[in-house]
Order: sequence, then structure tokens, then C-alpha cells
Amino acid sequence: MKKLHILFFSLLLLLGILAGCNATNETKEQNEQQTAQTEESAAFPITATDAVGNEITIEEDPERIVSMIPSNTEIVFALGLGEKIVGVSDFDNYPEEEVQNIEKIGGQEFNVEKIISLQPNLVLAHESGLNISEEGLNQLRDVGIQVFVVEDAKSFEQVYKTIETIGSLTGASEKAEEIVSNMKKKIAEIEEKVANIKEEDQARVFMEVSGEPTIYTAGKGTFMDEMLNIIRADNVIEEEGWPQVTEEAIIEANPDVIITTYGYYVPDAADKILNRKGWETVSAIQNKRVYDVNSDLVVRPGPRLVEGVEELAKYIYPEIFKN
Amino acid sequence: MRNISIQRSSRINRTIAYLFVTTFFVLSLLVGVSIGTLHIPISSILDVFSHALFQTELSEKTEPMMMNIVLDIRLPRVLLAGLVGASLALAGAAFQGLLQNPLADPYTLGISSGASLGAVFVLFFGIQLPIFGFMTLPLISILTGFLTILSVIIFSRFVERSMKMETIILTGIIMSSFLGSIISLMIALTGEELRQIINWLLGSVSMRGWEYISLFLPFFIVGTLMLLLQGNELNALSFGEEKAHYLGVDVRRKKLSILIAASILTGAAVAVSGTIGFVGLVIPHLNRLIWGPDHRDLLPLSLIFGAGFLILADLVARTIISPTELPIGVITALIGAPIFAFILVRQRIERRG
Repeated sequence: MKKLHILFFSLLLLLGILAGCNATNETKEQNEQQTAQTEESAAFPITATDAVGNEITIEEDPERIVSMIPSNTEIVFALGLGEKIVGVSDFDNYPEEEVQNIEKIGGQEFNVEKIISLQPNLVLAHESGLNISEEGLNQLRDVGIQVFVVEDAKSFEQVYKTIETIGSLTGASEKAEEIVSNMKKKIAEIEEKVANIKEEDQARVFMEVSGEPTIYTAGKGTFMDEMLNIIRADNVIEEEGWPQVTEEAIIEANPDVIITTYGYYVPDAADKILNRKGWETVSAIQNKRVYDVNSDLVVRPGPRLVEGVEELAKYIYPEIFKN
Repeated sequence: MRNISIQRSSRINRTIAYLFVTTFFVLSLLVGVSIGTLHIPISSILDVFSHALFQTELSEKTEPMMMNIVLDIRLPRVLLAGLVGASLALAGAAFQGLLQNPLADPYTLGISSGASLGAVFVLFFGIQLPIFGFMTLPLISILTGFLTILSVIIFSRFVERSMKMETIILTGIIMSSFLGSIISLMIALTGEELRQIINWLLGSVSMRGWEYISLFLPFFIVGTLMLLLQGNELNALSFGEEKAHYLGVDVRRKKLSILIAASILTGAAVAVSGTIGFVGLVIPHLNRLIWGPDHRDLLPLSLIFGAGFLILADLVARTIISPTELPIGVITALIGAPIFAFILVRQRIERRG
């Protein structure tokens, strides 16, 4: 019994010491931050509601940010705040060189301890992986880290909003607006160029996002579909989301152009489709119009989506987008 | 007198049996080719077949697109399903006869785990051998399947020189769980390829094409011939090894050659289609129940019946919630498990009298 008491007290003592250490650390950091912040605008504190309905108040400009999904990272870098990112996911690959040197926090199943050890002021999580990440995020919230769950954008409008939200959270609202208006301008330019394409001249496009043996495609309500709408091309797929399709259905649909997005992990994705047996009658195969685009440009809800639209436009209407 | 009439009636029974399973197979083949995302009438299919085989003119109703779909997409798929089903059912019948264990199936001895490990290994590391290209996966898979059965045999000989059946089964089970845990390890470590690996493990004959059939065919022919010629020996062995020995069977050599032949079939089947369960277990039992336990007939009957069965299972897998395709292994298990339960109940009730 006596032994147990001693153990208990020593534990308490240890906890006390640890807590004390932490407190001193924090105050020191806060001081540093305050001095650094004096010349910045007084946009803080800011309160925002995230995708899961949590109201988050950020007292001061977050100096240490952990981004849990590549699209968030890209947005923060576009805002010019890349050096504030102290942790990214394993999947992050853009901007290539910068991201390589940032600590990795794991994939969808991230390492909670790692994130805590990075001492972030703000964690930018994402709505899409929530069913897996929820518990981990709660652990982060429990230790007092601000977690903002970014909405899973499904359209260009939502991406604009996401960029503006992240901008305001990080004290870069002006830059965010600049990015958004640039994106809108480029889209408008593209729309102008394709405005004269007649209904009957629209290219019919099939987009393959995963190849043999089970073909998946991008249907209605995806970015890729919205992009086709912008450049006035027809998606041959009518279903919502990311449906599976059979070879036969594609052969019957007879698309003019086939776009693949999985070339980064399947070598010669386009060539493989060109050589598929039984597809000889498909117009895209006969005219050798099968192209692989970088999937990050067409599915990742970030500032580079516009580049994705441009790339698709060049492949689908080469005569209009020559340069 | 009585003897002759029994012989005659059994001959008639045999004819009926072969007639029945062959009709079942041909019907499944035609239905399998006919039904899909695009409906193709049987008349067009026959038209395409005669065009392909005898160079007859295509009728106007048959579009070239239909021909491509029938010849390059559906037919290879249906044939591959048939070949895989035939191999698994035949190998299952042989294993059950040889191991005298009603629960034996082509996967009991760890061949499927071995072949799967090879395939998952290829997917996991994204290996592509320079000459073989996309055929790397099935080739490596066959190889590892074969290595597995070899090590099972060598190990059980090392444990016990006479290679008792129980030793072989136990060794196979040890091997399966060992290799299975390595597969689990790779799954746990994988990222991008996860869906590919899972899809493969659940089994599928989708988008394989004629290349896979030509790869599979030599193994199929060798394995099938080796097994079909062993009907008498299997009959003798099913009375027990000792009695088979007294009946003049060279037990050890026969055992080895049956094991190897059935393993070739299983390994090749797993290599091209993944692990498709229950075919090798249920089809032989079903046929034994209907046509009797004589291995001389049981082997070929199971072979043909298994082919038709897997073609139909594949048809269900790809049409039931089209365009989404279900893994064929799920369908065979959903159909196979209840059938197996039914067989078991019937046997027990009969035995009780």
C-alpha cells in the first residue's frame, strides 16, 4: 500500500514538472510571435466555422501550420506562406522541391504524436478523409491544437471559397482574392475561345481515372466534368461521381477523345488503351486521340485546377488552343 | 443376367450425365457471351462465330463493333472463366480423392497462398520484367505457386518419409498461414496499389484477353491430361493407401504425380484470375452426389460442370449491379456455401437412414 502511494505521488510530481516545462515554452514562443507580428495587419483574432461546424478562433497569425492534404499545401504555398508549413502528408508532391524538405506526418492514417511534436498553431485537415481521421483530430483538439477542417470542394466556386477561407485564416486575405480573381480571369479567357463551338461540333470525351482490369471514370459532379463543361466538350458518362464502366459501354459510346489520369503510376497508360483488343472501332482509337493528363491538375481542389483546364483544352481542341 | 442389366443401366446413366453437363456448359457459354452491358442477340453471336471460323459474310444487322465486342472482349472472358472453373473443379475432385478428406480443395495445400504471394509481390513492387511485360504477374504467380507445392512436398517428406496424407495436409496448412501473413504484411504497407491488390485477391476474370488464355492453355492441357488418366488410381487410393498398395498401385509415385498435376492446374488458375473459392470444393461434391463416386467419370464431369458454373458465376458478377462489377470470388462463395451446407445435411441424414 505504501509503495503504491509513493508511486502515485512521484507520478503527480512528474506531471507537475512536465506541465511547468510546457507552460514556460509556450509563453516564450508567444513572446516571439508577438514581436514578429507587430508589422502585420491587425486581422486577428479571427473566428471561422469549419466543415464540421466547429467554430474556431485564431488569436494571432499562425506561424506553424500542418497541412494534412496536398490541396491545402498547394493553397498555402500559393498564398506565399510556404515557409510557415512545418508538416505535410506523405502524398504531398507540389511544389516539388519545397515539399521534400518538410516533415511528413503520414498518410490518411496520420501520426498524431508527430503532429503534436511539430507544435503547430494551426492544423488544416480536410473533410474528405474524415471517417478515418476523426479520432486523430479529436486527440489533436484535446491537446489544444487548433484544427480547421477544410470543406471538400466539389466545384470551382467551392475551391474559390476554400482559397479565401484559408487566406483569411492565415492573414493573407488579399493574396487569396488575387489568386481567385486570376483563376476566374483565365477561365473566362478559355470560355471566350470556345464560345463559338457549335453544339454538334462538341467533342465527346471519355475520361478514364483507373485502368484495367476495372475501369473507373469521372462522371457528373466531378471537377473533370465541370472542366469539360467549361471548354464545351461532352462527357460520354451520364452517371454521378466516379462510376465503374464496362469496356462494352465505352465502345458503344464511341468517344472522340479519351483522357487518362493514372499515367503517373501506370507506365504507357495511353498506349495501353490504344492497343486494347476490341476497341478498334472507337473514334478516339482510330484517330489516336488518347492522352494522359497529370491527375493532380484535374482532381486536386487547389489553385492549379486552371492549368488542368488549359491542358484538357489543348488536347481536346488542339486547333483552337495551338500555343 | 442381373449384372448385365446393371451395367447397361449404368451406361445409360453415364450417357445422360455427359449429355447433361455438356448441354449445361454450352448453354452457359452462349448466355455468357450474349448478356452484358450491350445486348447482343444469339443470332448475331452465331453470325460472328461463323464469320470468324468459316469466313462467311456478316449479316447487315451485325455491326463491326458487335463483332469486336464478342470476339475480343466477351469470348476471351467467358472462355477464361470456363478454363479456370474447369481447372479448379478438376483439381478439387483430385485433391478430395487423393487426400480422402471431404474438406480438401485446390487451396488446402497452400498453392493459392503461394501463387497469391507472387502476384501481390509483383503488384506491391510494381515489377515488370523486360521481356514478359504485363505477363510478369501471371508468370511469377505460377512460379511461386509451384515452388510452394514443392516445398510442401519436400517438407512433409523430411518430416515423414512415407508422406502420410495427414502430414501433407498439415504442412499445407502451416504453409498457407505463413504465406498468408506475408501477404497481409504487404497489404498493410501498401498505398496506391491497395485496390489493385484487393481486387486481385478477390478474384476476377475481367479484361484479361486472349493473351491470358494462351498463357493458361498449356498448363491446362498438361494438368488435365495428367489427372484424367489417373481415374483408376484415384479410385484405388480412395480406399486408403494400404489397400491401394495391395491393389497394385505404386502409391508414392502416383501420389506425387497427382499432387503435381493438380497443383499445376491450381497455380495457373490462381495466376490468371486470383483466388476464386468454393468452386473446387462444391463442384466435385455436387457431381459425386448426382453421378456417383467413380473417379473415372467424376473427373471429366466435374471438369465440364465447373467450366459452366464459373461462366455463370462470372455472368452474375458482372451483370447483377452493372456497371459495377462484383468480385467473382464473392459470387462463388455466396452460391457455393449454401450448396455445400445442403450437401452436408443431406449426407448426414442419409447416413442416419
